[in-house]
Amino acid sequence: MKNKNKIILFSSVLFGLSIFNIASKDRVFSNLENRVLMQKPEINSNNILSSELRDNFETYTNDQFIFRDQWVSLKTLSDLAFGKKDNGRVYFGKDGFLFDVEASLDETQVDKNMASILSFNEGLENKLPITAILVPNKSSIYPQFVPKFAPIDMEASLMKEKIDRINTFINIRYPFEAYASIEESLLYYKTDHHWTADGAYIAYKDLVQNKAVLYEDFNIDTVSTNFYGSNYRKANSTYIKPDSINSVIDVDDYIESILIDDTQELNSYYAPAYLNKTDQYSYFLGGDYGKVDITTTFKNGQRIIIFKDSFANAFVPYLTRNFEKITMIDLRYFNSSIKDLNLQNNYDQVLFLYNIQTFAQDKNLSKINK
Amino acid sequence: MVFSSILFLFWFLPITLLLYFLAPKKYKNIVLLICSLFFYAWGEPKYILIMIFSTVLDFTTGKMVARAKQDGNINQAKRWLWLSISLNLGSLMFFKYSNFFITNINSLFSLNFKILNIKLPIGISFYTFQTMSYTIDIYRGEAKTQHNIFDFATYVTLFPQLIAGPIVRYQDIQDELNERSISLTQINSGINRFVIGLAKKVLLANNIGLVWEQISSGQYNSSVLLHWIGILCFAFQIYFDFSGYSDMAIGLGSMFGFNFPENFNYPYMSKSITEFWRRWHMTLGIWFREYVYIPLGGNRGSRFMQIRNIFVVWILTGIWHGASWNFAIWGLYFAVLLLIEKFIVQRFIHKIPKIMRHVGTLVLILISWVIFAFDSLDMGLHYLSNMFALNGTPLYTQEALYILSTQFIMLIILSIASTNVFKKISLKYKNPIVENLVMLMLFMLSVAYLVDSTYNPFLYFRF
Repeated sequence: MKNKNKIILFSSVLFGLSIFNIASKDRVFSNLENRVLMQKPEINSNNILSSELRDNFETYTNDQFIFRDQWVSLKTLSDLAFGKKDNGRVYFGKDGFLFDVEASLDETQVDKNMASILSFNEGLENKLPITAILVPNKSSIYPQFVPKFAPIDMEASLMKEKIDRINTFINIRYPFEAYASIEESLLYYKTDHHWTADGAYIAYKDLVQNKAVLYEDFNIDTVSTNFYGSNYRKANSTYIKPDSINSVIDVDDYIESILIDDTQELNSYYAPAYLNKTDQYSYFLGGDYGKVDITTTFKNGQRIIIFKDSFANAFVPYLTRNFEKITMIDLRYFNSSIKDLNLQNNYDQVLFLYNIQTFAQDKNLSKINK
Repeated sequence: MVFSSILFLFWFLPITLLLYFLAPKKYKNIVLLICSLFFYAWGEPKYILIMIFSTVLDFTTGKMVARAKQDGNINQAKRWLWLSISLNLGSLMFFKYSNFFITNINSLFSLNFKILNIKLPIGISFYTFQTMSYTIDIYRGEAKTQHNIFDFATYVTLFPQLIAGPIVRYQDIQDELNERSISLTQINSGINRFVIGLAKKVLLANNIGLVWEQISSGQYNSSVLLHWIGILCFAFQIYFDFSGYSDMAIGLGSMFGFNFPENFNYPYMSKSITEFWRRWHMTLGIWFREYVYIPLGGNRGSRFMQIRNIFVVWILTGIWHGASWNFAIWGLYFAVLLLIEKFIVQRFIHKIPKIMRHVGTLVLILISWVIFAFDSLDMGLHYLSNMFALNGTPLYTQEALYILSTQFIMLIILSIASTNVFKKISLKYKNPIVENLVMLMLFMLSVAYLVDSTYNPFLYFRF
């Protein structure tokens, strides 16, 4: 009879999903959400009346809900269908572009960082040229893909203004300024906040100017077509298309040795094992280390020290054709004294290669005067 | 435990439904009682004792009042009645208002009494009002004495309306408590009602509430547009949250064979504040009318008395919502508006075009929500001043435009859903297949949002 259809439908959905939930196997980790999922809490005589047990059990029922990834993606799709353009962590831009939702600018920290750099410069007594290549945020290079009115880059000009105050002492360069329009090549990944091999090349050319090896003379090839980047991991949607990763695949031919933290030797500049893991960007160098010393086959006596964040990992392969020695220091992981590195005697050039946000806001920058 | 959770939907509810429908008739109330106690204990294991106390208290006083009346001893009956009222109100005042009294006495007399470390037992404002209504109605002869304490306990603890209403007077369900049959129609309408309520809460209220939370947290630069959007979001959140919860309560009640009273009747369609309060939280209005307004004399007596009665009822209604001065002001605000409407505007209200009345009412309601939303009167006033560009507030900023553009579709849907348009359409084009499809879609979408559930606020923790 007509009347019973609704009850049958409701009961099957309700009881069906409940039974499937109890019967299905629990997962440990969600790749989509990039986090560990709550396991079935243990019930014993100690915790049976505790609110923690009940809270954990409730989280468990959510985390282990059958087809969780699909439900979560459906929610994201629904939000987008209703016109939402962000989920609090990323903006969903046009053409498959994702952009991080920014934290607000800590102005004091910018001032502190610029003061640290100036101190550092004074310490070197003008004996070494210092350049800073600051990579802009993806949204400032691709504003046409940012959702309309999105409050992104609201404080970019303020940040830049504070940084530019030191450009009488340091050579500050913004590599994409000459690239006002979009070329055929993609300068940033759509699903990750990093720049691509093409983006890094432009910065390379900006640094070495007419000594740059031509793009065509690098052996650049695709090493991955399923790169789900840092933005994707905040997007909670299985329906976003991945990026491809290109790299200078023969860079090892131009490298004699790579030494990590003065102790460990690397066989290759690249870590292909990461192409099968979540964070494929770590394919470049295997991630960030406190100190990396690279000796190349290009014996021109030029030695460069780079204070960097993860952006430099995709940039350094190009430098192997212009420098004999490349040292990379990541102040987030380097805890020894910089002064002990005796920069004036051991290097010919200092480079700061940072994403502009990190340069302005990272609290580790003060370590440069240790 | 809240209805809008995976835990409730796919663990508690299936088990409860199964036990209930498998149980023989005479055990159905016990099943409901045990499940309801479990439901309450899940969130508040210790405070379950207070609810049990309230139950035993009014079961006993009810019997005593009835017996005294039977013996013709009205004074004795009155004594038992006042015992019930004072103990119930005492309990409510202690748990809900002690710290309010203490902080006020501290600031008034520059003292420094420590505030008590007590949490508000969830639902206490609802169940004490319900149990009180039982004893009062016995005294008035409007309700039949319940001689089975377990049946009475079932009434008090009934999980569908325990935590957020509707406020169900004993006389509303006394017959169904003792003897009920469940028809297919009832279950069908129960399912419909429940799914609609769930969708209102999860798809509408939670989402627009998130926007309100962002705006009210002050993370955006101020602008007139931002503040109007903000309070509009709050107005939608509280309506769809509260009415959604009432829908779920009524729907669940229906599934178990109970007919709970309606609580909301499209309040944002009102063309006057008087009308608004006949459509908003109707069971609360009825409770205050029956047990405070009418005993005080209602609208009989001198004009002074009438005005006094309205002030008393509305300030009490205000602070019922929370132990904080802004709620008293909120109640006072409505008292003044209602009096103005009753004694002044009523005469020429029909001369004002309908649309102006509607818009005017909505503006007054939005202003009332500002008072309601902020505990601190300072913050409330500050918010209002921004709404009316009094601080040199700019008309709009980029952030306000972003919020408007990304929430536009949702705001349109919320506006339409605040009217009876959907109801009228469904009544006119009755099509069971489409209806079931829509219900299924709403349910599945709600599940999707619940599974993701990073934000699922429970607005009624103050009750």
